[in-house]
Amino acid sequence: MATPPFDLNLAIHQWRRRFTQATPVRGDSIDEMEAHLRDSVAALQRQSLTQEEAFLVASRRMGPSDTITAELAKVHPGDVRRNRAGWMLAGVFVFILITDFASLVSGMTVLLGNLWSIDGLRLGWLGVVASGLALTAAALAIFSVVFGRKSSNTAVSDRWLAKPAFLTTALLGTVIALKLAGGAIPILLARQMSPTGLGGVYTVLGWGGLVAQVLFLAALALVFVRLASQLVAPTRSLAPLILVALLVSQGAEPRVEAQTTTPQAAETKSSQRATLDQAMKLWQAVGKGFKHSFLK
Amino acid sequence: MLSKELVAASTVPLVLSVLTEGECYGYALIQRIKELSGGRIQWTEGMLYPVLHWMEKEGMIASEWRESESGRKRKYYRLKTEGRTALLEEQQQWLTVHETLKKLWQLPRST
Repeated sequence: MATPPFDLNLAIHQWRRRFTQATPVRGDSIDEMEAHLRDSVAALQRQSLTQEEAFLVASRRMGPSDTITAELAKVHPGDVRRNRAGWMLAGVFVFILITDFASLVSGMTVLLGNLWSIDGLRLGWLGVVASGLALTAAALAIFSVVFGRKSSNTAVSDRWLAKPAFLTTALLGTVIALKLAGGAIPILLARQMSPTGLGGVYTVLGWGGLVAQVLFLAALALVFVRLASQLVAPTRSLAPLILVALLVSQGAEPRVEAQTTTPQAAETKSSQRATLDQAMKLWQAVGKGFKHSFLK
Repeated sequence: MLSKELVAASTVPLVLSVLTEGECYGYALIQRIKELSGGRIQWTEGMLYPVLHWMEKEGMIASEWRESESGRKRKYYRLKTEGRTALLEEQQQWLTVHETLKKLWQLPRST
């Protein structure tokens, strides 16, 4: 069997990866060293080495990636911190994206279900199931990315991960779009449904959705616990904080649509309105409690 | 070959001195040192970059990405005033050591 021909670009790509694995260094530094490596390879080839031999000698002369990155990290200590913080923020965006996507899916389901004039409480449950399915799909996707055996097409994922600014902006844009789209749903629903029906939908959706999100967080916590032993020190100490921050961000914004977006809500049956009020008060209490205990 | 300690101590004055000849990028800088030392001064080439970045942070040198004649993008370093001052200081110290050793080694052996 013939050995595959040597691919310099692929070899350099793999060489670059070694510099980002242990201690992340800024892409600029790696670009600079890649330029050096390519110069070195070209010069060695002129001395009648094959491209593969030239690459081996040149990368050997560059030295061990872990020592170099450790030295670079000493010169740019802020880089490592900023890099970590950046990826954590991206993680927060992904989380918000997933939960917003789930509420959008459940809202759309409710809107669709309303076309068949299903009653409010059942519609609410339908929405909860849809949101649960969306969150389950997201949890499974996270599991497969984190614990999956085969590293599928690393070149593609590398190309994406190499542009964190673009990736994060895209994530943020999608999050905002999802939020805007999600905000339209209660208004549409309020136009189409009776106040009683609407109250039913949001009572069920508020609590069912909460349960679905807590289950989703539990799945994330499971991923985290399994990963915890593999994380390096600074990340491990920061990760629980991130989880708390997420809980706060989720708990601190009670869903007020049911009360504020419908002028007809005043006509809601008093018993149902009492339920809604209680639910709202609890939400707000939970939000305040989180704010009080974690943000001070 | 130089000892590890001597390499560490001499990198900064060597870099500063090469840059007095004009701006230069990492690979060419190493080639110049190799050429002048007849190949006796050899660095772990990648380790030059943390040093260059540190020198830039200290304000001795400045850098700029530019396309070379061959169309390849390279990061060029040039000397700043602080670098020239630092080089004068280094020169004083190295010459002191050099002259002292020279005098000692030129003494007739008293055996």
